[in-house]
Amino acid sequence: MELTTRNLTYEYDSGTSYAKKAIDDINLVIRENEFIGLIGHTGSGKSTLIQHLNGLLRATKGEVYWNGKDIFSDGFDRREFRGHVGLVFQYPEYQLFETDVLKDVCFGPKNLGLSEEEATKLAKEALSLVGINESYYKKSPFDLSGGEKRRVAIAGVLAMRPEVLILDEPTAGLDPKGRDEILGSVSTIRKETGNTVILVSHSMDDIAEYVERVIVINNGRIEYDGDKREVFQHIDELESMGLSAPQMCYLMRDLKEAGFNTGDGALTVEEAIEPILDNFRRRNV
Amino acid sequence: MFKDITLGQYYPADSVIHRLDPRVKLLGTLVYIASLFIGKTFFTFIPISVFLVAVIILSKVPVSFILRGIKPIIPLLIISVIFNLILTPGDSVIVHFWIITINWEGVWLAVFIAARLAYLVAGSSILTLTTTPTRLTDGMEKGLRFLKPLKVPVHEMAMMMSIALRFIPILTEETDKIKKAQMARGADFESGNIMKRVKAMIPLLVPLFVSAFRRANDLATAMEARCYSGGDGRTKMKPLMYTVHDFIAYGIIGAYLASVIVMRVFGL
Repeated sequence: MELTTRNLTYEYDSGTSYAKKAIDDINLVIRENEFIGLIGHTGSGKSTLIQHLNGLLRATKGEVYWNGKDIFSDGFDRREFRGHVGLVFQYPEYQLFETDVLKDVCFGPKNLGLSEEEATKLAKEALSLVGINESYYKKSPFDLSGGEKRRVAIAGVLAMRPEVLILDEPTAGLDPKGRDEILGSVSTIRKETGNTVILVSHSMDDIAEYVERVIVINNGRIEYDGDKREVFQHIDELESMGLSAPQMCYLMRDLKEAGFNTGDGALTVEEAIEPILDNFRRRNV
Repeated sequence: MFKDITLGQYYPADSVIHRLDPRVKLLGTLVYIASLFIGKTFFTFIPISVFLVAVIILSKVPVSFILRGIKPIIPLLIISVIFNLILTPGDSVIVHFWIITINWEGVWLAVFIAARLAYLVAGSSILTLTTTPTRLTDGMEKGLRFLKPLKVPVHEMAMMMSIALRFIPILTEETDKIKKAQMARGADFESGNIMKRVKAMIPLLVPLFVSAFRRANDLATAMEARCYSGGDGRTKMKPLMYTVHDFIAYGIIGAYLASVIVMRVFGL
């Protein structure tokens, strides 16, 4: 599978005095089995971009291609396509509506035209991927905790078996426990299904820990697109865009300036331990 | 689909109409609506159109914005046209087949009523387009203060009004969001027969209601946290004061009303 965008540009309130380019000339290639982090400050165009990737918004200029086909060409089934590119919105728990958890998760697969049994089977698989067990199936989605609701909502998209899963700030507004559960689920999903995952997040540490490729978007344009280690080298540029780098980047930079030979590229605590210990060992000898 | 509702939306601009005291605009809107019903002939649409066009130009609100407000009432317009066309009694028959009779009186009435409705929506949307909800309720509260001795809860009504108005854009946005979220799950709001479409609204309406209740609850808590206890003894940070412009506007409104009444009296 391959999801590409060409010269994607979207203007809000096109033709009025409010007109504003939300995204501007975006060119992306998203391939199989990638783990992508999408970062950018509030209002940079992240949410607009991801809504183009599954055809919810139609670009003012430019196209989105799914396996080489323009998704707005005649005869393209966008409803079925949305099953391939699953989008989980911010605060997805507000979309829950059914009388019980299982039925809610079945909504997606049923919309794709699957039978009751098939839909139920997919729903159960999706729920187990996000760590919701059988005892929850008959509960009302409105009785769950915030983190549980969110996991059920993610399962609602997962049940459609998307090949690309886009998550828009899945941890926003959750406590540390809920956060870990969600990110843990995302990791599990990726391991078990081998899907491409696009994670939109404001937490650079989460991005550093989980993803491989980072796309930085600023004022509707792509500033960086590459391996996370390479992108997070540009600490000053990221800061001028109102972003930051993972905490370890700062520590490693400060250590380097203080004369330690810590090397480059450590982004997480785990990665930083060895180079730091190494320095101490060498000094003690 | 809800984006087209301009009623209750504010269009920020710096214009004479925007700066007018909300009481003037409220009275002006009332007079305008009354004038639409005073008029019995097409001639009255001359002063009404002049008044409306002048206000629109002065308000600096783009005409496309006001026309967008008329779009949602088009079904209503069509229904009223159809009913007036076939149900108006008259002698000057144009077409007659089966049980349907169309006569000139019906045509005249259909066009007249449709014009009235369109003018009504276009004119009254200017009030909310040029007045922030806060100013609007301030105006209402102060303008209706004379009802207070009659135990009419003016302040409470004004407060409810402003909250309702404030919630329109919020709920519109929310609806849009939920709709997109369900579409991402393959929901289909556009095709199928009426029964299917009504059913398709459930995934939209349930979350919308839940969130409306949640918001109402949060708002009540937030108001209580700031010791809100109704209108008694409450003062304003920016009390409403009339300026010269407002008195001129009153004069114009008065002259406009008089002209429409005179036309009615003389049967024009």
